[in-house]
Amino acid sequence: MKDMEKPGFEDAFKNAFDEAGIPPSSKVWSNIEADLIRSEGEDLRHRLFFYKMVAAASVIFALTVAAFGLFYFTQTPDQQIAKVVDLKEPRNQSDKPENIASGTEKQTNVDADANANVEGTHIGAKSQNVILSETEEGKARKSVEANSAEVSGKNNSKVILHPNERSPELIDQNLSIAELNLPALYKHRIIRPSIPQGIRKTEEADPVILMLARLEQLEKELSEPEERKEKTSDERIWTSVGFAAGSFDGSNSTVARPAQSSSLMSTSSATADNEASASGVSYSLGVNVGTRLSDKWVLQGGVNYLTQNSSYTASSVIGSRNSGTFLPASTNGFTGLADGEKDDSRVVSTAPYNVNNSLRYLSLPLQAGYLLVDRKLGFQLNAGVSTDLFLQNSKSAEGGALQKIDQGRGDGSPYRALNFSGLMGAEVSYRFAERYRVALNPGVRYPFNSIYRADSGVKSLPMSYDIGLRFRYIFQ
Amino acid sequence: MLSEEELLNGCKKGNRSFQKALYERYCQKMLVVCLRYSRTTAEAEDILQEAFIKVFHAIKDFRQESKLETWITRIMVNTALNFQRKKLYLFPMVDVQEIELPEQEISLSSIHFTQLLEMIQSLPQGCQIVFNLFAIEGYNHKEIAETLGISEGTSKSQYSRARLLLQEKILKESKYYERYGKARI
Repeated sequence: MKDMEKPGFEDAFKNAFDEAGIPPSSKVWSNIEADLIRSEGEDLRHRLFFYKMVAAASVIFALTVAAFGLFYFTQTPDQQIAKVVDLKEPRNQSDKPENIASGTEKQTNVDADANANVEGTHIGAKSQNVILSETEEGKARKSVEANSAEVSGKNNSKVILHPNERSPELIDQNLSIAELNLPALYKHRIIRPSIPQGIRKTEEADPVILMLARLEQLEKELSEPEERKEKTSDERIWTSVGFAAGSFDGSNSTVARPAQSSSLMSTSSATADNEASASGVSYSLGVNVGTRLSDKWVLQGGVNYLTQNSSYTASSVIGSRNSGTFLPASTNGFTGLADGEKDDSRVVSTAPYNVNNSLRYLSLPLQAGYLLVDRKLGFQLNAGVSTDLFLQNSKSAEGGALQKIDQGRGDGSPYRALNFSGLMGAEVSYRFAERYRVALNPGVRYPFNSIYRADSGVKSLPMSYDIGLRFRYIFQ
Repeated sequence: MLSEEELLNGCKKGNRSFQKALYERYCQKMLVVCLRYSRTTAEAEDILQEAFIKVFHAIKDFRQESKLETWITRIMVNTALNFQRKKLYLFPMVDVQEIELPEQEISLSSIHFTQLLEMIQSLPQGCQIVFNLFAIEGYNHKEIAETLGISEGTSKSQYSRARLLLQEKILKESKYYERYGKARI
């Protein structure tokens, strides 16, 4: 072992390999590059998946809120009042079956003196309004301890129950107001414990007095609901600028298979398939205007610049007619080949490479919106159509070795010049100043027709999910 | 020619041409590292490929605390060790008797590095790895023992055996050169 530690032997070996080098075979870099491309594609897929999930979550959230909003806001005050129990009438009269069956107003006379469950409670020939909830029945039936209120100057007091919250036990058992556990009602917000003007809240304040006063106030509120409603219907006309980002999925595309399976046909078919089914990212930027049609309905339209970027793998190049340049394989290129050229003379097979594909449209959306929440914080559901005018398509091979394809509108284009898409989405907005509102718009766009012309043999209906951010200026 | 800084920045951005430039700068030297830990060129190229993929994925986190070449070499060695680990499980290293080595001056100057590579590749698996780590990478036996999960004594005995085998091969080659000159290479 001593010899092993002599530096000469190790150093000699180390020095021998210091500047040594052997070139690896070319396939090593090809494999490394393929792996890097694959992992970049996975990164992109993860990003797309994230966008999709966010859009889906937003739509689910929007629909949930919408359902809740519909349920909550469509109930009228009349429906909310199901039972009115008149405490003024004698108790035995309140138990009449026809009164219970009437459903809208149940009058129960509670004579506090006669109802001696709690000593010292006195409610004589007075009326009170009490809103009860079904879930709180058990709590409500508890008696009030040491309640010694004497109420005077109150007439026509009633016990009001929720429409579907009939409390037969409460009524059938002839429970008096004194038997109600008022603190429990306050606690569970069955009775809102706000104190009306003119009554001081003290530790000694009787809950029954507070309740009576509150009920009186509530009665006023119900009779004048419009006065209390927050005035947000002042937004009549507005404009907004916005930006949206998301993803699109072309996996539902189909490519007509060639009858003859020549090498060129197979190559073009495979390339068209890769191109049409590619998924990617979409961005849009635009200006919109909107107007209110009625209290709940709005109409919005505008102009947007829309781009959809994706990349696909090609394994051939197309030689140009006149010069010695090559174009990346694409639907455009294969469609552009004349009949006489549809052999392999202008198509050269290559190692697989990536082509970046960018589609640009001028989009004219028109959407109707239904306002579910029309306050400072707004929420609406939108649906409509979009007219998409094809502007340009660019394709460039990664690495820039091949000539770039710029395809405009016209006869040579495989893309339809005019497309129609369905739009569906939601809008959550916040009014942060007198004339400004900011909104978040998750949405889905589904084309009604293929973005490719019918004679191209390719059918693609890329579904888009995006989230937009809009700043709205309110004119009036 | 791109500077190391430029190469690093380009690779950190994921620029393919910079990645290729980095690969081309270091691939030849790194293949020799991989060859030292493997038996065949195909195996070494597999290691090289996997290690470079790791390099490109991890380069964003490279903090330049060491030289880029040193960092890449470390990744190559670790990847190679992972490749060989299965074989080490199948053929575990055992302690061999330490051999008294003859006091003899050995010169490697007349031997081409490819010959030395062949000699290293012909060593038994355990000897090959321990020799590389100790003699060329500069690890001590304690570090080798921790890295490979063996005892320090095993590392020493494996190295001792590797050195003996190599000396024999080198002497044999030297005698050949004395007789026939350097034409063999």
